[in-house]
Amino acid sequence: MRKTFAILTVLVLVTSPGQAQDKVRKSVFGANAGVSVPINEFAYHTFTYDAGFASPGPMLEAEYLYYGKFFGFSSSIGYSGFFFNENAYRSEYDRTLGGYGTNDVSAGNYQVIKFLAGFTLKIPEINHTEVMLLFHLGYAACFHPELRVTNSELGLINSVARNKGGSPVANAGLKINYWLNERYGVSLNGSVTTTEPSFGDATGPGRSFNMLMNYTSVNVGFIMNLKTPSL
Amino acid sequence: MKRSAYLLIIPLLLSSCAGNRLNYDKGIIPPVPVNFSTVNSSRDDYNSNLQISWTEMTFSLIFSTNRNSNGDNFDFIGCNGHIIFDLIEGEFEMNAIVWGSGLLEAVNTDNNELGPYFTSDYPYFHFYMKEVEDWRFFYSSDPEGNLDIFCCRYELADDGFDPSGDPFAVTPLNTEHNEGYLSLHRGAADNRETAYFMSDRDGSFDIFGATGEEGKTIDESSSVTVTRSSGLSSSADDKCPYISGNVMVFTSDREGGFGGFDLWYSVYNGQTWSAPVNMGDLINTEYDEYRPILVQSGESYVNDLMVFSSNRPGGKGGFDLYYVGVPKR
Repeated sequence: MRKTFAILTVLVLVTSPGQAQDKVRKSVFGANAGVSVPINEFAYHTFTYDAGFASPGPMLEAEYLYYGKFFGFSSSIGYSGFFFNENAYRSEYDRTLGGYGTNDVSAGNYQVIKFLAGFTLKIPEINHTEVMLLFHLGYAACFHPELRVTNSELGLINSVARNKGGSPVANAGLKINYWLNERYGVSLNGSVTTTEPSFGDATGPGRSFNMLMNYTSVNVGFIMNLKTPSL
Repeated sequence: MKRSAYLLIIPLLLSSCAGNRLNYDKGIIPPVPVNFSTVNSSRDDYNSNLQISWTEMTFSLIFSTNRNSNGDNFDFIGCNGHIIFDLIEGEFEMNAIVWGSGLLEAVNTDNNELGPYFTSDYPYFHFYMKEVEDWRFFYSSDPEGNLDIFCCRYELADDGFDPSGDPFAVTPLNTEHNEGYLSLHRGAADNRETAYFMSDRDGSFDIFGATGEEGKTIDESSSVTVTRSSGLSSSADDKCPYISGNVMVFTSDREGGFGGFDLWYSVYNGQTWSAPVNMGDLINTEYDEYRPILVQSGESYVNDLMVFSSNRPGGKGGFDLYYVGVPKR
């Protein structure tokens, strides 16, 4: 973190004199699409604590940023889907039940809809390019997929109904904007998101559980400056 | 970046208090026999009886072994243990340690003590629990050279079970032949206690039913009606009946098995026992499977627990105790 700030500071000092110092505020709308990749426990594919058996899935995001030369504000609404790895889950039942009977797993997908707001740190535009760091907090509506595991000899041995869990969410990202002209541009984005919703499990002894959902997102999109002189 | 992420995570962690997602809604006792390694020895260990508190996940186990006499005769040993099932990782364990008991000291002799059956366990919080009336320990011994059924009443002591009287033979059940392995069939008859046991009084070992006098326990009854259970018995040896709920498990070397003594079960429909069914090749082998006991697991487990002994290869030597999950019936 300290290193990042140092690099950012150096870039600002080096590039600032050459940049226009007058009004550089931008009001930017962006739309992005890409992939979300589960990390840490959320991606584990073995029967360990907090293992999510999640696999990468698509993500969509709409954002609004208002920023000046160095600082700004941003907000976004995003959707991420994660496939539930049925094969890995079934393999774990095969392993733990010692091959007794035939196991069948049916599962939907994880889904996360997050609402974020926060601030940005950026370096001034160089060659139509902006680099900024984004730090967000917000709320995530997370959906646990319906999950059913049956064994041919033992019957239904695990089930979780599809249900929603809401929780605070934290997000940090790196955004690179390249302006094609004064109004339009493209962006490349990467971010890390963490949230820990609580889900219901009516058939489990605890009736509910928390799931740590950490994931990264990589996406590309277009950006539009809403505050161009022509507007 | 990493540090910032941790700072942002802190409020999330503070808001979380539930557990992890479980991969099993209920416990599953391994459907393939597991060597009860914490209680087995290189000698013969068999003939167990087990009482489990599923809420406390603790159990008391009594079994016969010839380890203390270097193979000369069988005595009882008692164990206390606990059960673990990890609903996340799916691991089932039964761990036990040997404990001394005044009751077992009272019944062990230089003869063979076999077929333990005790009616009530030592509750973990016994000082706070309602007192249980039924404290009887049935077993078989051969002081005259042939097995007879005995009973010893017991009570709770700080260090386990203590005898509350001398062991006595359940005379109405015994003959000059072998009788043993008594198991109570609770609720079979109104106000009359019913039990099943094995005997070779008719030649080969068969399963017999016994009904006591009205209002008396089987060991208090001076007159007991004993009948051979033709539906459960065969021309081969049928031994070691054990009843849990409406299911009887026993061992037999009858035709239709996998070799040696196999485990069989029968279901009681309220009036009669069903035709015996072999417990299958997942449990039975070409070697001997002996003295099964069945413990119903209630709502916490998908299947019931069965403990039996076998001299199959892969054990610690001689007969070993094994536990296995069997379908609820």
